[in-house]
Amino acid sequence: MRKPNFKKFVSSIMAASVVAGSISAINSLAASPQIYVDFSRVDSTTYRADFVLENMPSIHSGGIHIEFGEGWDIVMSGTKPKYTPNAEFGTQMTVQRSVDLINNRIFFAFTIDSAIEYEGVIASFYVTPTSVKTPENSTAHLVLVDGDILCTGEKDADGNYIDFLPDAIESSPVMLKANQFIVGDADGNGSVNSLDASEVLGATSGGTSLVVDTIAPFHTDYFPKAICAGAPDANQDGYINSTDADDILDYYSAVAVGNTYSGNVGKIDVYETFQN
Amino acid sequence: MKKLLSLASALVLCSAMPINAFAESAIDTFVYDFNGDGVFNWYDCHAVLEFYTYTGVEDLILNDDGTYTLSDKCDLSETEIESILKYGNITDPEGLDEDDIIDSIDAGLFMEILSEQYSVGDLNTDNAIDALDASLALEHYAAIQSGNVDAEYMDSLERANAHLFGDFNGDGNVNSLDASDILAHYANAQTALAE
Repeated sequence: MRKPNFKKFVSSIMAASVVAGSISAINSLAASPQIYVDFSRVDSTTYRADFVLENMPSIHSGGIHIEFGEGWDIVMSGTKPKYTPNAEFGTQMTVQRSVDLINNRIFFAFTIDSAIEYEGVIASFYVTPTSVKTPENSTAHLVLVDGDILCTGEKDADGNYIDFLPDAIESSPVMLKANQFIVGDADGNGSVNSLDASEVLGATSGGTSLVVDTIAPFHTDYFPKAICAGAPDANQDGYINSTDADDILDYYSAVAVGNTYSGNVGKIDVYETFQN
Repeated sequence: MKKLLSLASALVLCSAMPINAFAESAIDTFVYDFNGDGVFNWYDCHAVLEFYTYTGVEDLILNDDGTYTLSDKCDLSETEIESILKYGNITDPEGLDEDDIIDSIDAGLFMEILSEQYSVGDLNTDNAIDALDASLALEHYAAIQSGNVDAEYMDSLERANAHLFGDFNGDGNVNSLDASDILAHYANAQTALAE
């Protein structure tokens, strides 16, 4: 299951849970810190790996290892992995990062000027595809190495800093594969045109709105040739409905006559599939 | 903002207001000058964090017999490493970080100690709050607003000091209001001195 946005993820779980008559699972899920990587394409040779943090009560300092699959090489800047801070959050951090090229890991350590509440991208690194890249080895995940921590600055009854990293390791989703796809390419033919809009309208006939994360495990039931469930979601809002068909047609009509288009459709993105 | 910048430029020529009281500290921070540049500042906190990251990928291996092994990727000098090994695993004011591990918590505690060494508003840590500090607050604000925030800026003393000492009005942000308030504070102090 892709987790581009935690709120979407929770809402889809909540919908399922209401049917099941239990919300305890939602509460426990929402309470568990999670760290995962969200890939996006920068250019033909470079992809950005956003480190996303969710559900931490607050954040003070940490040191975490992220391991990349053999489908990626870590892009370096001198002796350190190339890095950009998050513009919203990152300027409050003192950051260090190093790389373990043998295990294809980045070690990212930081401390915040003072503990703050924050959810979202905490840092971005860069990777480039290797010659053996496949969707299955284009992954990245958190690994626990002795000495790693993630803390809020709060202490337990014994006076020790509370380390949330073991919880994060347990509750963070494991990435199974990462597919590259064209946004709006609902029929999986490598281009976006009016046929893709037809695919979307056909799958959402009667005003149905499909939740991307919900249909992800069996998206071919709805879009037989789409690379992933995210492809028909033209506006990338987590839902597939007639609005996406409209967006696809907007794109196609603009491109067909040589006009500029500024939306999501036609861009290459990466869709991560996670094991819950 | 243009008006404020020109005012800052003009006032920077004036003499600074001494606030030596803030230079006094109960903590002897001299031993925390890990990089040996003669002053305890953000670079030393940064060095602790760097030490931690090198241990995290085994570019710096701490041996059981107290010695250490470096890879050629470790940029820290032996003097820095030995200084951090000696003083880097600090205890916080409540004496609670007793884990014998030098990590980001220690770096955070050093940041806390550093934040107490200078007054809020003293962005260049020269123990004076003056127009130059206002100018630095504005520069930081401009960098943030323009999105001109890259790894180089992140690794700069200016960025760190702006966050540590720049929120003069205490609203949680460092922006032109802080610059304005710093200038007003400075002008008032100068007027009081003249009287």
